[in-house]
Amino acid sequence: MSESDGSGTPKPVLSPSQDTRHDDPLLRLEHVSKSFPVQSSKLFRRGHEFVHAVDDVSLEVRPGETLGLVGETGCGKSTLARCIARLYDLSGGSITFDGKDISHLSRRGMRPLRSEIQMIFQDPYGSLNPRRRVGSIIGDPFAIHGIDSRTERKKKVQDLMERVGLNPEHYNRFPADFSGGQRQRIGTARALALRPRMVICDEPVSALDVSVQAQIINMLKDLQDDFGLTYIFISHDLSVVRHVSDRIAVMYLGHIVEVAPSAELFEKTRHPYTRALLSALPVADPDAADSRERILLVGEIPSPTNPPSGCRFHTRCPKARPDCVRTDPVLQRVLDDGAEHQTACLHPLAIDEDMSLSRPQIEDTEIDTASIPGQETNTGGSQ
Amino acid sequence: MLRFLIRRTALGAIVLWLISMLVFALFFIAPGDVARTLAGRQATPETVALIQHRLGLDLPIWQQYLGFVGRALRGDLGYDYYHQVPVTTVIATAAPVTLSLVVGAAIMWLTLGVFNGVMSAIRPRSFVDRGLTVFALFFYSMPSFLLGLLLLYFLYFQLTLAGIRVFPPGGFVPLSDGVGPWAQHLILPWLTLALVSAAIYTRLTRGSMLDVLGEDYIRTARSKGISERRVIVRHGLRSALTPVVTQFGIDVGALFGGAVITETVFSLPGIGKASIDALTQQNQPIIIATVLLASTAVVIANIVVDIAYAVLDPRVRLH
Amino acid sequence: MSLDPTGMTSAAEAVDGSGQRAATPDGKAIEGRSPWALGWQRLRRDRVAMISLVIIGLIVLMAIFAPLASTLTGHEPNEQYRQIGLSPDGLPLGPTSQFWFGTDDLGRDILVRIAFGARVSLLVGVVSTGIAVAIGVVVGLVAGFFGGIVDTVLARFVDVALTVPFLLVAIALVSITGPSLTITILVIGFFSWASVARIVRGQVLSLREREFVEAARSLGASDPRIMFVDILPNVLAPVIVYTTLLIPVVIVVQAALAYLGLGLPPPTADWGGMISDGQKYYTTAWWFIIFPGSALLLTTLAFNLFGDGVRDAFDPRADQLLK
Repeated sequence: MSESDGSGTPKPVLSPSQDTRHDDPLLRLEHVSKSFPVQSSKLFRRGHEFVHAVDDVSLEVRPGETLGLVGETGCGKSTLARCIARLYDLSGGSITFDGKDISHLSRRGMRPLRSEIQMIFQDPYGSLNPRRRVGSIIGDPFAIHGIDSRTERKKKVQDLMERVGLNPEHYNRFPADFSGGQRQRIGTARALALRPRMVICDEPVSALDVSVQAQIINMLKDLQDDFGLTYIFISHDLSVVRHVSDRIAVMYLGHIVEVAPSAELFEKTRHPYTRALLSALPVADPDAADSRERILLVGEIPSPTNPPSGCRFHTRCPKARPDCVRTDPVLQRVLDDGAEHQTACLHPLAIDEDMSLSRPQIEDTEIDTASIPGQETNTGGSQ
Repeated sequence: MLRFLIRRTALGAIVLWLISMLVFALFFIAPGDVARTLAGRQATPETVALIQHRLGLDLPIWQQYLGFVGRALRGDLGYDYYHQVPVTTVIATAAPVTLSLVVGAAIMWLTLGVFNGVMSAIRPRSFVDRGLTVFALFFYSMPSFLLGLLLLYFLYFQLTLAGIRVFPPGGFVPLSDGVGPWAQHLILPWLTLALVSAAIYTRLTRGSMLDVLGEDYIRTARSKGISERRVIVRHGLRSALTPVVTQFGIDVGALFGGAVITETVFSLPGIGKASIDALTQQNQPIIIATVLLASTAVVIANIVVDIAYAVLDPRVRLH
Repeated sequence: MSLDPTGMTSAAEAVDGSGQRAATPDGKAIEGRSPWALGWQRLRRDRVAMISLVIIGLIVLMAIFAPLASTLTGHEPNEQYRQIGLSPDGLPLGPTSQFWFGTDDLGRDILVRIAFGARVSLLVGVVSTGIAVAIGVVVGLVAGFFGGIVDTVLARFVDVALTVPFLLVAIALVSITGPSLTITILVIGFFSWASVARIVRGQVLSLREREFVEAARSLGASDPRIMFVDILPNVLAPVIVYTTLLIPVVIVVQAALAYLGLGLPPPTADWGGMISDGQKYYTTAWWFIIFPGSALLLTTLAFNLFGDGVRDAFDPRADQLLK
C-alpha cells in the first residue's frame, strides 16, 4: 500500500478468493491508554485528576474481519475508537496500522492515512452538517484531498449513493429531508468515498429504530464484501454485535476483559462480566428464558476517575475473592481455551457454571449478599 | 466568590490598561506637537514650554506612558489650559449634572420599560400588547436627539406659546438650589433618554417574560391554584428580570459617556457636553479625561453587574 | 431554523423498506429546499416585513436617483438660493410650490438635500455594518474555534471595544483628524464588530463540539476548511439577522455624530447635520427639523421592522442573542 495514495486512484477490491484473514494484522494496539484531565473547580487540585477512559488496551484486527467491541456506556469504547482514528492523541502505548506506527503522527502526517481509516458515527442527526447538501457532504473527502473535478466528483458521489441504497437524484437535498436510517447511509457513503481499508463503526445503529437497524447492518455487511473492508463494530448491544462480528472484545472501565471469536464468546463465556451481559439479552423462547440463570448486574459503573483497585470489576462481581482486590488480571489464555480466546480474570467461569449462585467473598462489593440463596458463604458483611 | 471578584476586577483592570494605551497612542504618539495641542490654540509659548517640561516630552515613549498612567492613578488628570483649572475641577463640576441626568432617566425607563414589558407579556397578542409593541418600535427607532428636539418643540415651545410655562428650554439647576427647579429642568432630558430606553426595555422584558412564563414551573404554580398575580410577580418576574437587571447595569454604566447627545440638546453642562465643548476648544486634556472616566464607569458597572448576576444565579459562580 | 425534522422523519420511516422517500410522480429529482429558501418563504408571508422592504427599496432608489430630484425641482443640493429661498428677513421659507419641503437657513432646497442625504445614511449604514460584520465574524470564528490563548487574547480586544465609550472616543478621534466620511465609517465599523464577535463566538463554541465537525476532522479537513465550510454556514443565520438589525443602529449613530458636528464637513447634505443646523430655528422653521427627522425616522423604522421580520423568519431563537 502506498502511503501517499491520496490521489484517489481506485484501490483493488479484494476478490472473495483472496482470503486474507490469517495474514498479518491490519491494526495492532499495544498497551494503548488515553486519559483526560478533569476540570477541577478546586484551585489546587487542578491538573491532578484524570479520567482514565482507556487503560492498557491491546488488540489486533486482521484484514477483512469484523471485530466487535462491546461494553456499557462509559466503558471507553468510543474513546478507543477515536484513538484508533487518531482524533485523539494517545496518552500511552502504540498503534500500528499496516505495519506503520501511527501513534505519534501529526495531523499532517495522518492526512494520507485518512483515506485508509474512516469512521461512521453514532448520531445520524449530529454527524451531518445540516446546512450542507448531501452531495457536498458525501463529496467532502474528495474535495478535502483535492481529487477530481466537480463533475467527476458528482458522478462518484452518485455512484456511492446508489451503493448505499439512496436515490442518487437526491444529491441536492439537505440532511433534514432524510430519515435516521437514510442519514446513516449518507454517513456510510461519506466514509467509503476514499475506499478506506478499515472502517470504525461507532454505534452506527444505536440511534435507529429496531426495524431500521437490521437494514443498515445488512447494508454494512454487503458493503464489506463489495469493498473488502475491515470493520471495528462498536455497540452496547451484544445481540447486534453477535450478528456481524467475527471476533468480539468486551470492554469494562477502560480495560478489555475478554476477547474471543463470536461463537466461542457465547458458548464458552469466561469472564463474569460477559456472562452478566449475555444473561441480559432477550431470549425468544419463554421457557428457555425462564429456566436460564438471571444475573442482574448490580450498581453502576464506577467513576473512571477513580477506578477500583485490582480487578476493576470486583465491586460488582459475584465471584469476587480477596485476590481480586489486590491484583489486576492480565488479558491472557485461561483454562483450556485456544489462542484466540483471552480473558482478564483470576477466577474465570467454567462452562455451564451457574454464576447466579455465586457470592462475593469480599467486603468492597455492591452486591447485597443476603439476597443470594447460599451455596458459598461470604466472610464479611455486604456493603 | 472572592476569587470571582478578584478575577473580574483583574480583567477589568486589563481592559482599562489597554484603553489607557489606546488613548495614549492617540494623543501622544499621533503626529503633531503634543505640547502645543495640549496647550490649545490660545496658548502662549511659555505655557507650551511649561507643558513640555511637565510631561517630560523628551523622555522615551514608555517613560512618558508610565508618567501618564502614574499621574492618572494619583488623581491628576491633567490641566485644562483653556480654562486654567485642573481637569479634576472641571470633571467635578460636570459629574453631578450627568449623574442627575442618568440616575433620574434610569429610574424612569426601568419602571416604564419593565411595567410595559410585563403588561405585554401577560396578554400576548392582545390590543395592549400590540399597542405597546408599536410604541416600543416607534421610540426604539427614534434617534434621541430628534426626540429631544421634538419634545422641546411640543412641550416647551408650543405649550409656552399657549401660555403654559412648565418646561424650560434647557440648562441645569443644581439640587442644592431646590428639588423643584432641579427636576423641572431635568424632566425633558429625562424623558428624552427614558422614552428610547424604555422602548428597548419593553421589548427586552417582554421577551424575557414570555420565555419564563412558558416554563414548566410556572404551569405548576398555576395548577397549584396560586393567584395569577402572585404567579407573575413572585415566580415569573424574579427569573425574567435577571437579564433585564444585568442589561440595566451595563446600560447605566455606558450612559456616563453616552449622554452626550441629550446634554447637547438641552445644554446641560455634564461630562458629555464638556467633551463636545472641548472639541471646539481643541482642549485635549478634557477629552482624554472623559474617555478614561467613562471607560472606568463602564468597567465598574460591568463588575457590579457580574456580581449581581452571580448572586441572582448561583450557577454562574461555579464557573 | 429548527434542525429537528421529527415531523418529516417519522413519516419517512414509515415509507418503503429501503427507507427512501418516493420520488415525484413524474420521477424527477426533488430539489432540496435549503433552509434559506424556507426562511425566505416565511419572510414573504410577513406583510409588515414586505412593506418595510418596499419602503427601504424606495429610499434606496431615492438615494440613487437623487440627481433626478435636482433636475425635477431645478435646484442643486448645495446651491444657496438666497433670492427665492429666503424670506425678506433672511429666514428660511416654509413649504411652497417651489420648495416642497421648504428651505434651510442658507436658502437650500430641503427636499433635494434630503434625497442626497439618503446617500450618506445608506452608504455609511451599509459599509460600516459590512466592516463590522466582516471583522466580527472572523474574530468570533477564530476565537471560538481555537479557544485557549487565542480566545483569551481576542476576548480582551472584544472587551475593550465594548467598554470604550463610543461617542467620546469619536469626539477624541475627530479632534485629532477632523471630520470626514471615512473616519465616520471606520469609527462606527470598529465599534460595532464586538457584539457580532460575541454572538459568533458563542455559536462557534457550541458548534465545534458537534459530531459533524469531528467527522470533518476524521476526513482530514484542515482547520480553516472546517471553520469556513462547516461551521460558518451554521453561524450565518443569526449573523444575518443581526446585520439587518445593525444597519438602522448605524444609521442613527451616524446621524447622531453628524448632529454633534462630528460627521461630514459642510456643505454636504446629511440628515443629522441638517437637524443640527435646524435646531437654531426650531421655533420659527419647523420644517427644517421635521422633514429630515421624518426621513431619518422612516428609514430607521423600515429597517427595524424588516429586521424583525427577518429574525422571525430565519432564526426564531435569536431573541436571546440580540442585545
